[in-house]
Amino acid sequence: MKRHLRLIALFVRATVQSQLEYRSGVLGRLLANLMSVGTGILLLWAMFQQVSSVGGWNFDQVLVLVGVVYTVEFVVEIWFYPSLNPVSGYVRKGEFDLLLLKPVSSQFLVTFRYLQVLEFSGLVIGLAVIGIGMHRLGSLTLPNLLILAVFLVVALAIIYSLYLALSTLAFWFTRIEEVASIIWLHSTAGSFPVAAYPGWARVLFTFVLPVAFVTNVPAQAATGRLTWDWALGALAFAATALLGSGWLWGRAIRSYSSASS
Amino acid sequence: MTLPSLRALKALLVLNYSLSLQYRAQSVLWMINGSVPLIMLLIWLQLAQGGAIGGYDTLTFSQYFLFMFLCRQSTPTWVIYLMDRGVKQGELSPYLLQPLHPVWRYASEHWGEMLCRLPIVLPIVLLGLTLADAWTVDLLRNLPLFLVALALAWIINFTVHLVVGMIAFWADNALGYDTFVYQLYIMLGGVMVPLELFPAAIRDALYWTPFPYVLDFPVRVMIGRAAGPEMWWGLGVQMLWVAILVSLFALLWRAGQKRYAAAGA
Repeated sequence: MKRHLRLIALFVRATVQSQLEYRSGVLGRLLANLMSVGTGILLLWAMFQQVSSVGGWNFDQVLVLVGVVYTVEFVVEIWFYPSLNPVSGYVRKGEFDLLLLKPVSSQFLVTFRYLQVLEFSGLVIGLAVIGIGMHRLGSLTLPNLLILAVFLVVALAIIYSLYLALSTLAFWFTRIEEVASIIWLHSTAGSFPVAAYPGWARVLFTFVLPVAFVTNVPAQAATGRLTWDWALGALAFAATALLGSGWLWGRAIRSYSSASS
Repeated sequence: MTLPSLRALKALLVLNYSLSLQYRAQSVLWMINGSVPLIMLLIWLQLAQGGAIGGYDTLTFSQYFLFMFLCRQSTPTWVIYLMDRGVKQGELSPYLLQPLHPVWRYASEHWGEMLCRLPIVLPIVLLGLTLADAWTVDLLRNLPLFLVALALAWIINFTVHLVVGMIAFWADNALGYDTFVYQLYIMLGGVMVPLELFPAAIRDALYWTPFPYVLDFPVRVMIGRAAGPEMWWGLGVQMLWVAILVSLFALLWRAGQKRYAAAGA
């Protein structure tokens, strides 16, 4: 455990150093973050100029939901995307050999390699949007915040597993650098209550592309509307996803046959 | 910047089409990402069950978002990434030595990908129109001018990205601005909320930017919500944007080449 923590600290330091080399990029992304949240809320507001509720949720409740989406999305952006996206490159160029030779689990290495902590600004924006929505609804209480924290972690575990599972596809399809795409789709679908979709799509967005557990459940927790069945469902889904994706990773590296040899 | 010969153009197209075909899995993922309009269609259809919203009924929403899907799938642009890589890794150096302007290489990479997607995108749109019972006679009549508007839209979007991508010449890193432009393209293009449903003051302000002319305008031409003088005016503005952006590109390219340090060469 201690060795793993030390490794994570080392990875973070190396990532920060290489990021400082390209500072203008960091500024550009901060601007992009602010703007994407700004325009996102503008769109939501424009939508609510026409309708009074979406899937039974009012503007402030959807605002909290959108805040959850941003929070999850930014964690993906600063952690899962930079770390897991290069997997397809490792496989194509045969660099994965080097990872396999290291005395630590390869899943651990690819998971924590590029944690871009410098870009935490986006995360702050996401949490702020949740906070503003909760405040407007009068649900900004300590118990709500604690349950929210728990279910945000559960949501991240699900997204991580999804991401890891998609990355393992690289071992069979070679070039899939844009696995992030599916997460973006996930963000859009997750910006609305699952109840706003027709029946068949609700099933799809609960079990296949699990936006119900990843965005709806934390938003319900933050607004004091979480029910036991959804809470337990999310926990069970996260546990299954974590175990399943770990198993898939193990299978994938066994089928890896290097690139040039 | 001279036009390439037909033979060179054909060779580039064939090359890029085969490259896209070879990496199909990636194309599929990109396509999934481009299906946001279909998700929004589901939401708006549910919302419009109780009656028309801002003049859009279920038929209009179906047509709007299906053609939004088509336009979104026809205009994906990753030229900022190409420029960034070209400058940072010196990949631009060999291209600059050739008589063919590198921009054709970049453009045809996009065309190859589009050709690869077309056989999937088109059936989805046709199937969607049938399922939603949204076939109207107007669609056929509007098709020719829609294609013109879409072609102009593609050039506007590509050159906007290209101009931003040339930041790479000065800042060594243009990739950070990719999401920035992408957001404007999606948000201001009407992918999620049709611009016509925006409060008038905001909508009028947005029309001063090139972004509504990339997605919103061609879609409205197709479904007949930009007709008559409004349509001709819109096509004129599109051409104006093309002229402005292409000149800006030519200017910046000349200046940028002088800055180009050919890393890795």
